[in-house]
Amino acid sequence: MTTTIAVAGNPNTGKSTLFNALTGLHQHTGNWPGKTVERKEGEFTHDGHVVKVVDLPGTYSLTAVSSEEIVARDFIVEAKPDVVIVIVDATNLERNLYLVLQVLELTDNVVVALNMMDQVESKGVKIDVEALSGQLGVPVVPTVALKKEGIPQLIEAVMEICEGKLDLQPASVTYDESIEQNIAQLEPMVGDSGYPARWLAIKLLEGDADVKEMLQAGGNSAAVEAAEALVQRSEEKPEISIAEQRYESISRIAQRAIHHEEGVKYLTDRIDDIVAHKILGLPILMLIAGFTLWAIYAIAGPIGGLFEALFSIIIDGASGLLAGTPWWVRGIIVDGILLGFQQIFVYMFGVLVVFFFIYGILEDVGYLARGAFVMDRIMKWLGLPGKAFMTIFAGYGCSIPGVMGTRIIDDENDRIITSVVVPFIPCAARIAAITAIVPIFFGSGLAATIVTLSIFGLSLLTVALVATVLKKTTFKNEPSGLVMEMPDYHPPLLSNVLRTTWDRTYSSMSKALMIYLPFSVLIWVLFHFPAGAAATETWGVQMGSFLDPVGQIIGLAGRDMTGFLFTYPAKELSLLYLGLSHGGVGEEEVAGFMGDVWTPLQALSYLVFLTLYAPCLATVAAMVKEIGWKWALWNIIVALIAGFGFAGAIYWGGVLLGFG
Amino acid sequence: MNVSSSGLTHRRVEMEDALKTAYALQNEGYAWHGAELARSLGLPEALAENIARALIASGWAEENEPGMRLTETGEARAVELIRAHRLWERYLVDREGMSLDAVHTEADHREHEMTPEELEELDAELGYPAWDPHGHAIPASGSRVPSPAGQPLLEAGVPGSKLRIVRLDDEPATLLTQLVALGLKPGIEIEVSSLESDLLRLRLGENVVPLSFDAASRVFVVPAPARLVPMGKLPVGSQAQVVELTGSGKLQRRMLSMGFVPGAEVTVIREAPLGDPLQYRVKKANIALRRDEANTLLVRVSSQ
Repeated sequence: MTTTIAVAGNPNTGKSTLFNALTGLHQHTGNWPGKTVERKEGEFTHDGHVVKVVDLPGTYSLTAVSSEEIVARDFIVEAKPDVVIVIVDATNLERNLYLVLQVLELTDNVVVALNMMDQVESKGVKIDVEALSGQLGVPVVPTVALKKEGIPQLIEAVMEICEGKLDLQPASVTYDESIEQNIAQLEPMVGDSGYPARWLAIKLLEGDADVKEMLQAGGNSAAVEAAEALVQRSEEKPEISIAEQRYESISRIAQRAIHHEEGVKYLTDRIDDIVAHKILGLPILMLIAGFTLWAIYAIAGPIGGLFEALFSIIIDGASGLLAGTPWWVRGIIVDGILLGFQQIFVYMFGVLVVFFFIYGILEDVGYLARGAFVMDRIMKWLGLPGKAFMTIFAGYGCSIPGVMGTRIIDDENDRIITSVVVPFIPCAARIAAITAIVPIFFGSGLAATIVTLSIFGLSLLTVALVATVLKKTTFKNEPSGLVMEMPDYHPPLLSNVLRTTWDRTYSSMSKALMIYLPFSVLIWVLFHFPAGAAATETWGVQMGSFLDPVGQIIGLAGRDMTGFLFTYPAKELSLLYLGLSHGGVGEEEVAGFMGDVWTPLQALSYLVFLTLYAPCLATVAAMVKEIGWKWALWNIIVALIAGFGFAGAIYWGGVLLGFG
Repeated sequence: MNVSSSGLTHRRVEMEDALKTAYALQNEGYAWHGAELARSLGLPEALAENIARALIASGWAEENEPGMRLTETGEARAVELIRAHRLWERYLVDREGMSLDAVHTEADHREHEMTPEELEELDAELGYPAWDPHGHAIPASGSRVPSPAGQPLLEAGVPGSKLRIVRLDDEPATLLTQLVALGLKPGIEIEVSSLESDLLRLRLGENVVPLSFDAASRVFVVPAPARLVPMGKLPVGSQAQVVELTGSGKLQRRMLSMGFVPGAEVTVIREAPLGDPLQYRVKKANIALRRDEANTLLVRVSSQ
């Protein structure tokens, strides 16, 4: 028999650290079915007994505000873990106990891990652990997850519950008379769904849409209607009274178990006095963002170089091994698949690792929330939530971490909007193409700077336009806002950061490869078939003439457009393909003759289109993973409209003004 | 507004004044005869008896042991008169700038001269006001006079209590003049600063004014309502208590779970560089809210 335990807790309480401390390296990461919520699972062995540990998403509550909360409560009820560990921040107990009380409404088998016990004293807090345990009616174990203190005792308490050795009398909130009457009235009506009847009754009174839906689907719509009538008749919104009374219970518990010293100025406050400062806040954020971008460019490049060398050796070796096979087998394996691997590793791996590492540190330390605080107003102008700032910055490195980074955005709609607009931010690949092509046509002086900045500005304008339109149409019924905790700072735990960096990089890379490789093979085929055709007569090149009318929209030739098609998987190849489709080889040579092929206006149109027309294939893969294929498709369509629209307007506008 | 000067008889005015007095007595639960009318109106008893009989003769009142009682038509006419009186007072203060203590007498004259249509016109011209300048409710056409709110300052005036004046007795006129001179009028808030052997001292803004017990019995007050402010309007550094949540949906639910529940103590820590969002401390945690969200919470300021 396996024992299953779940770890619940507020965000920023050291939940991942505790999970890592419990499971060591025995863990794997995935997504909860049907959700973009990360699911982590691991195990440990105790006295020859295997214990499975499931890390529930960090939540403040178990209402249905976010997918995280729904995932957490569904798991507790449906998977019936033997024990739920609720980890709480000992330095901020009142707020954390709110979740504890709600978990206790769902299950009796709870152990509270009183984490960060080493910091309570410096924050002027004294906790009577025994009294707290008595008040809650479940074991309370002091821990310092960062230093692995208290873990054996925690496991001990868990095992005691599993073996039925403990007599648990969990605290339950008694609400005021009118609410209790309403609960009593609803309890018999909610049916047998596996959820505790009292809990369902409370959720109905709170107006929980998810529970309502579940009951209606289960044929208990009478309960839902009765609850709605009771809510209507209540003088005060039951949702508010229930929350209020939970906090009143907490105050009573706190009175007996917690003592606060007044006037202790936390280190966190002193740091915030600087980094969230009215004047210093923004410059500090810009420094951090600038450093992140610099690090991406400075470190990812050499990493890419290493992979390039490594894959050259592999490719040479493979070519040798495949010497006896038909030309197309060799072509597909070496130039299609292996070259595809090389591309992804050269261009993506370094960017992802560096970004996720810095991002992980900022997240672990607690700075991300400050950045969001400082940037929220600016992000709001772009139609985005404050927390999107980091993903937008990431976007200047690579759209994939940008899309993946949207996970920290609490609101689902905001998350979708941000994921959909991040790809409009020119990534390293596009920036490389822009900086290579601009000097050919605009030199290196003021004109070049203006052109480059205009392209960047146009991308931000597109972000704002698309986000605002989405907000005003599809998502107009759910106004989003900002309700964000600014957690206390704490030193980063390198092992945590490395682990999340690895998890995120691995997940992005594997997804990107899965989509990129088939496409890479397809391109190879298109440019080498029909068999034996001359280089200018392959399917791929022939497609160019079909694309002439499309190209005309933005003032370019069909062969320029095939370039776009084939740089679709990875846009850093733009210049190379541009050369290929015009019969040149090598970037320097291309630079030599493109100046004669295009007018500056055509070049500008090309650059605008390149920046906007559609995210690269790997980004699409990330979007499919994060927000589903429908939104990914939506993004591609909008990107094409934006690309053709802006590039077309610029080109034909320019022609009308006589720049043609 | 012109007043039609119909041929009102002196008797008619006397009768209507008596009707109003009777209505007031009856509303306060007193039985009344000619003698009570005489005392209230300051008339010789014989004349008052005479008037009372006239009230019965005109169908406004009837015998009802131990005293007399107004009929439905009588009550309706009384309300109409009160309505006219209070509307005129409003008119005189608002439109003619007459002082609060002078309007009563003038309104007493004018109230008798109105047809129901003219009354309606006056009401409309004034924008259907709800209160006369003394703080008495103006009854809507055809309704009863709402029972006056508030209790006498003399009873409610415990030192330290914060009160709001809801109405002043408009008689005797000399007292009203005195109250108005002190700055006491309906709608203003006062604090009772001390209670002495024969007078009350009131704090009105910056000033402290003395008020005799007699005067204090004619000033009617209710407890000053706690002033609720949207939380987003609090300056940085201030502390407040959450009283009411007026938002909805996910955002409100999230705020509730973060600890923004009624009764929660909140401190405004700082504003973001561009003025929004704001950082609040609630339940020992730091929470950032946009001003729009913060404004859905109504709070009572405890200190700044």
